[in-house]
Amino acid sequence: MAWTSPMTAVANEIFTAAQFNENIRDNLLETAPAKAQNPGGYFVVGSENSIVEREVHADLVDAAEGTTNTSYSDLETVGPQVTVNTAERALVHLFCGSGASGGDAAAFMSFVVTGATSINTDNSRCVSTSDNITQRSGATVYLDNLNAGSNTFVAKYATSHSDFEATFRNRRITVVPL
Amino acid sequence: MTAVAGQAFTAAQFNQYVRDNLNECPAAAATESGTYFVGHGTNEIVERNMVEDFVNPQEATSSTSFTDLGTFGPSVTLETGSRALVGVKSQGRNSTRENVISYEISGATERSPSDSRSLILWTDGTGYSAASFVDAALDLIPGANTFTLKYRTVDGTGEFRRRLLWVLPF
Repeated sequence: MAWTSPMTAVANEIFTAAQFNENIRDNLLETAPAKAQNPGGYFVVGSENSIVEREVHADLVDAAEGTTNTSYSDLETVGPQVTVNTAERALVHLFCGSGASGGDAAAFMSFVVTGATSINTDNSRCVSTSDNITQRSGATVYLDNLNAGSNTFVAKYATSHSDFEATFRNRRITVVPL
Repeated sequence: MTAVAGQAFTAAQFNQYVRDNLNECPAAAATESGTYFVGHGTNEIVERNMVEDFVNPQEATSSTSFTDLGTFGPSVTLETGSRALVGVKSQGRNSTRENVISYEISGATERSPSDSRSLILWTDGTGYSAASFVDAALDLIPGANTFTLKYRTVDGTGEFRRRLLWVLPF
């Protein structure tokens, strides 16, 4: 069943069971209370005259691990990662404590999207810190080019100089699907 | 209910299936501009509102354990479900080591500040560094929860100013 523009009642015309089912029952079944399943879920527009329940998803990897790979790759503990049902848009927040072991090296944390959508890592969608100081900060990315469906978001890591290891800890990814 | 042709549609049925259900919809439950609706359980929604607090003064600590500054907070108390987004922003400086800012949860949920949920600011002690982070607070106990920023330094004296906390409850 789907949303139908509510009929307009006309004086002296019989209100039939079929009209009740289409205009009242079926439309009420398209409202938020009818679709609410998960505490903490929220409602967004799925398509014209249709709403869908979404949830915030997050994952955290606390372990301090490093890489000397100048191309984005996994650390010893893969992730963090979340798999989320999305439409075309989502907010993705990256957060970690990071630093590089010396020189002018920089540490980078980005993410890939797999599943319904394929998006590769990119320095325009990353958290980065430079030098051998451990900082902890985050970055929020707005994606509007997802393919609707099940999408998996996985954090990836790199250093700017293979001679200097980049270390990452308290790594978190949060996805707010829209 | 599913209507059946030929059967009377009673006032009681209208009240239960039309009036009462419409009264559960956002349009009926909305009370305040800018709020939003989230699921509260099966077939149940609730109105939520984002809340923020801001503390401006420059204040310092040399505590290496999380503590309050001279002006408590920022701090917000609000009704949440099991999840919330928490935003933290601050400026800080320290000529010795890093400044660390985290948040504590009290009330329905008890959760101590933690380095794994913190912002770290580092400068040469002259200028201020400013940064922010957004944390997903999961597995909250639904009810009235208070979120409060806490501060520590790794070493030396850490200065903090323009401290902002916001919470988007689900």
